[in-house]
Amino acid sequence: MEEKQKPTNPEENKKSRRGFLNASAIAAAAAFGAAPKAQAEPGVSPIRVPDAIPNALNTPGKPANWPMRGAQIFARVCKDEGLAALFCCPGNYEIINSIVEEGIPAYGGRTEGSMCSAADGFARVTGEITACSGTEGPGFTNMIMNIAAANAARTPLLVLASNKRIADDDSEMGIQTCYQQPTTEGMRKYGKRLIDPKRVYEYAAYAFRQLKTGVPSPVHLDFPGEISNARFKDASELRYFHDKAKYKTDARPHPDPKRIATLAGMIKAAQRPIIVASTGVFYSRAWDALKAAAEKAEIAVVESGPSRGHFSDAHPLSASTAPGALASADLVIFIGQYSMPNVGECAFSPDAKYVRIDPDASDIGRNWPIDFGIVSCEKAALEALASALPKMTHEAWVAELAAERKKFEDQNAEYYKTGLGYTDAVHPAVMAQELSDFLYRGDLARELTTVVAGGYGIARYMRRYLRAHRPGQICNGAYQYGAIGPDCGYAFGAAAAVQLGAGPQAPYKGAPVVAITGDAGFAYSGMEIETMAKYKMPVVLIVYNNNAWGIMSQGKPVHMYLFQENLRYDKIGESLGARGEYVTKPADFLPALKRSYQIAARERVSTVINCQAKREFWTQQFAPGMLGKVEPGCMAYSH
Amino acid sequence: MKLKTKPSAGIDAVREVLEGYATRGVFRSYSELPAKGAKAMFRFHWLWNAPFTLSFDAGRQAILFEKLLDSVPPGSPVDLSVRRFLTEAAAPGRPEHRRLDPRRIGITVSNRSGALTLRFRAKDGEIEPAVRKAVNLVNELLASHLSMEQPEYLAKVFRLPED
Repeated sequence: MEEKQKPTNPEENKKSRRGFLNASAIAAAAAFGAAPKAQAEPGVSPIRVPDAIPNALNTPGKPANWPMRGAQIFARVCKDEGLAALFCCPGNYEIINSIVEEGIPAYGGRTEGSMCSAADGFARVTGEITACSGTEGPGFTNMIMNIAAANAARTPLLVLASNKRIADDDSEMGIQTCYQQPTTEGMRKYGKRLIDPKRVYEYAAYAFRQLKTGVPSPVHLDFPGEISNARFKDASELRYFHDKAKYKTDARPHPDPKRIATLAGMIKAAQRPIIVASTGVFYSRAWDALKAAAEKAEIAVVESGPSRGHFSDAHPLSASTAPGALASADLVIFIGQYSMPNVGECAFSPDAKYVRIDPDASDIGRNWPIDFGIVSCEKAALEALASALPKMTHEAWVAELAAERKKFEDQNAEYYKTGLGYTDAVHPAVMAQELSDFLYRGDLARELTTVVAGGYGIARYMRRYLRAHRPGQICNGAYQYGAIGPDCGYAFGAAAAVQLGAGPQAPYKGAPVVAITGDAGFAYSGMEIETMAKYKMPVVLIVYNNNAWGIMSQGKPVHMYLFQENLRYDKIGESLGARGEYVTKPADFLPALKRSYQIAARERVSTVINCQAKREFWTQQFAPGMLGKVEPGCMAYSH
Repeated sequence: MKLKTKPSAGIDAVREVLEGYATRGVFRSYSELPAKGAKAMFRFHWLWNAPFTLSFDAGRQAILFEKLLDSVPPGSPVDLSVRRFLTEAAAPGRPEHRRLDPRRIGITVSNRSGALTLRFRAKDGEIEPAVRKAVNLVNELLASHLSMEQPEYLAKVFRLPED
């Protein structure tokens, strides 16, 4: 084994920044067509995608063979473990180039933070493990907010970063000195700075063992130069080298049958039982088992979590759009609710009985007091419950759910009617209702379109109107961490997932993605519109432009809360290779949406729809003002 | 109306219900203050881990959430919203298990200097269900109704993280 110091041949030039894009390749490359239409002006060179990009994307990978470098060994484990996609910026070259050569779909964007969110967004709509990567100092630290958001969402995200050589520790030799692991403490499940090249395979195993078992969350590995550049003539030079079946198990904790019988008895005794189906139901792919258990005993189901759709909002047992029914439940069963609410944060009755089903026994009873707990994989528990439950009906409960759903829809319709009365700007209720009608009650199949619901104030409206009809249909943007900035990153990741047809997105492969953000959020990740254009991701990005941060203030500090008015985010979109639509009146929104969606579907061109609103819509002066929320259900984002 | 129970029995019934919530973990930091005549007072941390005070006037068979909400000017949107919620709680169209039966429980809302007090009177002398109904209604008022209609007020008064 020897440490490699410098690139010495053309193959290794891929490690340079210039060579990075040429080396990137994705599995969906065959679908890559011509460059987007340029917004050409006389005498001005048009925006174009250089041939080098589609050429690289259409070039097959070259999986490594012995002798291999440390990075290649790591990449091989990623391939074997089914890493679904990599999102990165240049840096950590050995690792990212090796992952690309293994044939894992990979995407290069404009900022590491947004690419980290893209990986998060991909996972949130597929349930698959994804990776992000950045260079050791600024690239890695640019991802911090986004890693924290992924951690709050319990995303199985593999965070990768290069690091300077161990031999140069503490020396500030060159640039980018950064001790990474302390930085991610508190926002990851597992982290490790690799220090022994011979253990690279072993720590890859550590990473995937953590990512694939129990409650998921980010795993952070940093690779000092000695690790990724190390050369191995064969497996005998590795200190640990095992088959993946030897370093982890696919076994899942199954529930105690006696406890399932007790729970079935509690359901039988209840008049208004409800399941809170959250993150763990999605990641354990338990949606069929959930439906079976719910239907067998007419148990209501309300969703929560960073993604929605594992129980359809259109199902007669759904309480996700029936917030008024939550206080009626007399038995509440939290399943896979990893971000647990505190008392007061859910609208359930203090007299209800509470059950929690979770793979982690040590978390059961945290925050919300329970009457009964079951330690189990969510899918195994729901399958066992569906089997143990007798067939039963709760007719009055089902009727109450329907009545409360109607009440909620009526309230939404009232907001829409009010919003239409404001004609000098676009009210959020108008955008939300018309987007909802377009996606679910028009020509499109209601299951077709994956939506990233981001922003701050606009999200409070959109969540009320967006509907989920199948797993992974809605990426609940901000979720518990409350970051408004990652939306364009999430949108890119969700779009990549749909283009690849990954996981539950398979039936909708190639469909456009719709994303909503605000003007404040846009600033953090709007440059990824260029990445959408580069990869021909068909995204309809709706920007709610109210000339301000979502928080209102008066008096002297107000200048810190406001932006310049009438900024043109559509023009930014155009200048980055996408289309732009400028909407200033309510009547113009739907036509712009239709045009944008059709062009996205037909030409795989993204559009930024700038909806000009006004900040006063969040005040009581313009009813209904800033909306509140009730959790769990369609409005939930804290838990 | 003639009382069905002695004052001390009424206090016992309130205590038993509240201790039940405390035992189940719904209430935290639960304590009972020394009784003043026929009036008992209980303190506990509850929604959003905020402190609440419930008192019981055995002579009047009344359960009070005193100064439940402050900074509520009379006639303000929050004041009106609370009153509307309590009126609708007795509406015939509401599900029976959440409906307040005005023949059995009377509600009075008072606003003194911006502090709202809710008073529930057990007209039929049945204390235990009246306490449960009062606790459930306050729960629904705060965790559902005002959370939906007056989020900024709630965040300010209960010091909830808003952003």
